[in-house]
Amino acid sequence: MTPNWKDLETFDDWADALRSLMDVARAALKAGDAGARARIKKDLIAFVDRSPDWIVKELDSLAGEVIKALGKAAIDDAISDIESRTVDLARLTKAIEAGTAANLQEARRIRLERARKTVDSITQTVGSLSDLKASLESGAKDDAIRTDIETLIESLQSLRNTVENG
Amino acid sequence: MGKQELFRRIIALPLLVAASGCVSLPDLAPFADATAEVHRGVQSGHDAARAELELLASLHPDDPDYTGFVERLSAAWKTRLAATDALVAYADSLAAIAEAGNKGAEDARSLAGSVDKLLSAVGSTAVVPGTAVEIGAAAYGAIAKIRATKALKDALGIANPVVQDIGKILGKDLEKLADLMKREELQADVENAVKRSYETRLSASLSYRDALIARRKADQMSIAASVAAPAASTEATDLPIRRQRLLETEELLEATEAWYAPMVKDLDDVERRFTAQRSLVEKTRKAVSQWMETHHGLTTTVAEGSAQVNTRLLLDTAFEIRGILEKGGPR
Repeated sequence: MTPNWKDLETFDDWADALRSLMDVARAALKAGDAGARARIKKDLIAFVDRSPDWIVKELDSLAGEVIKALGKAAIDDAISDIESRTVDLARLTKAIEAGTAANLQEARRIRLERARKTVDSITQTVGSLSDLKASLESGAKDDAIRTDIETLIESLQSLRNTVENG
Repeated sequence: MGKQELFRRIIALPLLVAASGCVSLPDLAPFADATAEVHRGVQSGHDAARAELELLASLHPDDPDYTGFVERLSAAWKTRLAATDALVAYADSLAAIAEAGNKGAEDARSLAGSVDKLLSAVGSTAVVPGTAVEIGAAAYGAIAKIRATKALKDALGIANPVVQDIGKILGKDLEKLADLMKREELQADVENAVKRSYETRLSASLSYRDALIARRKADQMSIAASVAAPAASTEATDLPIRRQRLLETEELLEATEAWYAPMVKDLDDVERRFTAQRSLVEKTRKAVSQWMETHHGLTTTVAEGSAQVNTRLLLDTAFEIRGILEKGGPR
């Protein structure tokens, strides 16, 4: 219960008031009651604000320690509560990441990316092979390679026919 | 290919294109944008709480618990940021599927362009005829829409329960963060620590200021009494002295403003900051809840074959979050 501040005059008045506040604070901490903790913290801060320094400076220091303990308990509770869900959240996140990868793959498939890449890659290969064929000198070994290249180009040309003829 | 088969295909194409008119793909880009704002809100909520805990740690340098709180909160929040990051990527991937469905014809034309280049590379003078490209593009446009709709339906159906669970956890986390940022919790701790830090440095000066305020009050009451009932007042005789002293007290009090005003400003700043932080955390919490609802609605809508997705509430909240952050955030 909030003290009647106007009635507090002597050191003993203020000391009694603090003792009562500390009892309530202890009970609130023990019960883990967040609402009670916040209420008593407010009263203790008022105690420090209102108490005349020339009478009860040492009492303020005691009140300050309890205010800190109440504040720390609230912070610890909040963080512990958040921490308690971390493992579950990490597991769920992995599931979503797997779904995302599958979605992107599907989007690429619908966008014909693989087909376009394959065709572009073949086009590039044909260009390189034509350049290579042109640069080969006459000779038994080079002739064999030239024949292989010609076969490869022919097979690619058959792809052309397939495309042209539907 | 026989003539009959060719005829069958030619007939089938317009039917397919016509059928695709019934398939509607929702525009998911706004949903993906709103998801990014939710992520920014979750990040900024953490940053605000962390900054206040760091301030407390600096005001209690002899107490390592506060530094521990900073580290614990950030470590736990890392998983929250990874989760919202994953939701952003997920929303983008849904938008990518929808976009792929809507751009089927364009992609088919692009593929035809690649084939043209290939034909040219193998020495052919032929090109894929323009009419064939357009028919193929239209047909593939229809196929892409159907494929994308099915892909979206499957993806949303599988992800929705997971997304709802993530949303619930984030909602609880943000609620806890909001509790922590309440006026009577972290704000009271920060205000108290700021006040005590000034008191430690300015103890004598604050006592002096309190004494001046007490003297001003006593003189004001005395003057008021003599003004109200001059004949009855015993104060009347020294009224001029009290008036003079009151003027002096006012001057002395005014002189204390040079060191007192910064303390008042610091405390006002704490109040202003926490008010903005609470608003941001609350809006982010609301946005997470609306995000879950929108996703659920999207799942149902796509399953029913409709493209009508209600993202208005989510977007409104996302814009509010963006507004707060663009003004420089809560700090």
